[in-house]
Amino acid sequence: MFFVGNTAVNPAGSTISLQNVNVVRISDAYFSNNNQINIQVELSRMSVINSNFTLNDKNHIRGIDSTVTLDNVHMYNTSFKSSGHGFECIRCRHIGIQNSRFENLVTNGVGGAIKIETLFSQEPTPVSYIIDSSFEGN
Amino acid sequence: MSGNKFLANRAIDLSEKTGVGGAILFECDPTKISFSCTVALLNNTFTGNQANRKGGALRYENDKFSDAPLLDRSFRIHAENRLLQAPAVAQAAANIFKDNEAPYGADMASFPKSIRFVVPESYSGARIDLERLTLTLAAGQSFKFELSILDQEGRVYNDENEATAKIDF
Repeated sequence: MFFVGNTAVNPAGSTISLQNVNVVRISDAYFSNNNQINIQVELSRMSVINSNFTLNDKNHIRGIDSTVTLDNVHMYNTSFKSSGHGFECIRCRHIGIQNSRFENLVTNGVGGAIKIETLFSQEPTPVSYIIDSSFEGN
Repeated sequence: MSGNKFLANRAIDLSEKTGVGGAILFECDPTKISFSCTVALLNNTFTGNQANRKGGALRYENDKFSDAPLLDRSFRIHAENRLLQAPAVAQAAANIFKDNEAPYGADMASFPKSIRFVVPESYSGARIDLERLTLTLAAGQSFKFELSILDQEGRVYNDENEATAKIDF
């Protein structure tokens, strides 16, 4: 799946917006040169697998009150506007990141690659993790 | 967080909140939420990261991350059973820091914890009261001392521009 050059007029819009989705998986996708958040997920469980993200004005992925896992995701070469982030999660229930790369993600503020704000990970839910990933030139 | 590589990340700005934690900034205030701020940081490599204020590789506030071999139960179970599939990984805790840069805390910056009062041993006859930070000298005796703010890691905290010291004679 290719998502290239999409425009959302609403300032809070996104290329893909998901709310109250029990389980969703996005696999083998390519996002480039879109002008809003590429994927925004709220009150849902989402996994993103084998996907690439580059050249965006705002966050590549933003989770709110959700469970988000990233596996073999590559985010690269993006100068965000409005303090965007590669991956941002707010009040998330669980975060899992593995085998992923975050390269040359530049923001005005903190968290060019990742910003995690108020994470509620706890037992018996599997503890959140970031493993076997690389962060370079952010 | 385990087995990750942080290479040539930068936090460059002159304002208070940014310019700190070239690769990672941990902020956690346990009084604001009802959960603990437990983070385990194991077997990661930090190379050539940079901050123009503090914490070239990482900066933490309030609770420190865990880097001890004996991990909390949840992370140990996770590491052994779910992801890493090798109990040995959970035992090897060392993070590697190399060539990171910052005016304070090239590898790791935290926050002030204590004050170190150092008087050269050559002051024969001087009486030092460390509790009250007083140095009693003979009349006319010259003196020299060093007062340092130390951070959580026992390193000199040199990012303090507002503290004042009062010396009574």
